[in-house]
Amino acid sequence: MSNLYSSILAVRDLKMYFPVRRGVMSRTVGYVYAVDGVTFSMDKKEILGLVGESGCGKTTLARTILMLEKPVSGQVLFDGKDLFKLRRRELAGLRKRLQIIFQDPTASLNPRMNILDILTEGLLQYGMVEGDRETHARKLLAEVGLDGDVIYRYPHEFSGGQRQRISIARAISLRPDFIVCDEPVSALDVSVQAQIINLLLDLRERYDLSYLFISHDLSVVGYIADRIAVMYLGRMVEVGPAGDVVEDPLHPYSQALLSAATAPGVYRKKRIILSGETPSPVAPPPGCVFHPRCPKSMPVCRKEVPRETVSGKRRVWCHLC
Amino acid sequence: MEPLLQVKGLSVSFTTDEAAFRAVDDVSFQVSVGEIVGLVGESGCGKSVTALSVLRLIPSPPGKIESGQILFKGEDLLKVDVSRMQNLRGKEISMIFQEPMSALSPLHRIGNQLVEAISLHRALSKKEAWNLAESYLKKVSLPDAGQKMFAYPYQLSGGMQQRVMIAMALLLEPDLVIADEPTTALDVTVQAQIFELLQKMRKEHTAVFLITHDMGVIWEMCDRVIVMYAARVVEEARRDTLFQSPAHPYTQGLLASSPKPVRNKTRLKAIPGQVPSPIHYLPGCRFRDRCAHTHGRCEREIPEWVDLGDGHRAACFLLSRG
Repeated sequence: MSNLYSSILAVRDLKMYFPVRRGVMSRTVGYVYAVDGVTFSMDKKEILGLVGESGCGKTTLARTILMLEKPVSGQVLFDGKDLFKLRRRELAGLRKRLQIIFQDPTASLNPRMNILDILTEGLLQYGMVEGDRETHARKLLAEVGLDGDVIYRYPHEFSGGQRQRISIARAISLRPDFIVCDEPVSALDVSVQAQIINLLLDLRERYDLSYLFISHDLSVVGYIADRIAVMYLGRMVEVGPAGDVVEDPLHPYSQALLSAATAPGVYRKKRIILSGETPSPVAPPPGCVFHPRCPKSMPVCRKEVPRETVSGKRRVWCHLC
Repeated sequence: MEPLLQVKGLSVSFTTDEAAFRAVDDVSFQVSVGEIVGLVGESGCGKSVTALSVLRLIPSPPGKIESGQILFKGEDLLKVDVSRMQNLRGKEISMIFQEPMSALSPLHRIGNQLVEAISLHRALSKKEAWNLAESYLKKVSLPDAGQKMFAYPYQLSGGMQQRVMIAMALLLEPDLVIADEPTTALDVTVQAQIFELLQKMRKEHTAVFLITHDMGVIWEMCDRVIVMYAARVVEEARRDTLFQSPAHPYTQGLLASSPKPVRNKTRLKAIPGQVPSPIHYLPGCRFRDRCAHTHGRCEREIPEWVDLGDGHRAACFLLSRG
């Protein structure tokens, strides 16, 4: 179990709201409550799977941790240092230790740069090139299972799986401790998906990496993650060891989400069909945000935001628990 | 069960300035009345082209249906004239596309789009058609169906748009619905809702031809499965048979490489290499460069079909050697 001292990353009550502006004066008429009070921590070498449906705030949470957004309130402690309180110079040394792999390898690689430039751009910035650029780039490509002779080619000459390998090589080039993997295999064919998952697991072993692994595919997350965090409408509803969450989810939303997951070859229990749609994050429901769709909703759920309940290695935000 | 749709030896080719290639090569299968048949394969394997060919929706040029028969209730759809085809589309065979946002017109209200589909095929008054359309929106559990009739597609979420597409596909009570990746763009809880709908449809004797890349979707939905690789069918079986004893090395590889949320984590058995492009298909067996069991014969000959009983067949030399 992670605590403040052994953890590589600790997020405390993080809130990220986007203003909704209207009219000629761009007056702020409301907020999108994209991430609304999220707390969790991650150990070194841990893979935390982050699941939830589109618009639940997974990507905003990841972007905020990477300092790509400035949060409204809350803390992100990386290696014990509060990222949003550091001076510019202190930050520069830390930034390279946090990296990201995006979903779409076509959009995230610059089509006008060749592979050599893509892989060594960060290395040059930080003066970390070992030997000459070519040799270093070849070494990085070998790490991700690509032939070193491709360094003068351009991204469009590669297949989706190969491009994702290049993205991974770029992400590990600065020897990071922590990588956000934002749907890294969703755009890939099934037979190639497995290759990339294996590669990510190998690299974790080799470099003691921690991954925040975002995916909507519960089979992938259930397979790769050590722990799983479930988000709904900007809040976390359940966090726990992957096996426990998959086999015995405690929060009614996790139960519905996991019952809807398709696991080929496994005879399913009854699907829980949720009624209606996810409410807009501009006007989240009062009390427990899940109460309008919850099959087990009680009067208290409409009024009070559920508090964290800890049982063993699991934390659940539900009035029932 | 009597066959509703029989596709025999279908080949479709595309010719562009740079290359000519076969996107679908000698594909045969059938769909019976009230059956849900899945067609699974990776991107570029020809599954969507197969589906579009059934409705003769392949743009020509560059596409051309070279040979084969598409028998629908005994009638060869490749031989009928355009007016018969127009009469058949939507009414007897309808289609659900992957992206509802691009399949619906952004400029017309939902209600008008549904009424247009009805009025093309049935002599109903505007009022009757409107009421019929609304009743189908209710049938697919769209909340506030009456109001949604006046909405434009952009005002609906992806899940709601897909329900409108399904309502449109069902409006004229077709015998066969072709669904091309109907839930790929949707969240899992919405996918579960759409699955329930498709199952309900089947109970009313509508057959579904479901195209997907996702073995999970196949497992959830289908009675029978057809596996395609590099423009050819490589295996066909009942669902349980396919998952319990896949015969073709490609099917075995697909199943072994699908991650499962389990505690005892063994390394995923990935299929090496990548999906070939149609311009570079190998002679002989097209899977041989990624296959662990390749031998000399695979390079020279196209594997023949081996019948494994109970409708299970696969095209691989491993099986025919006995």
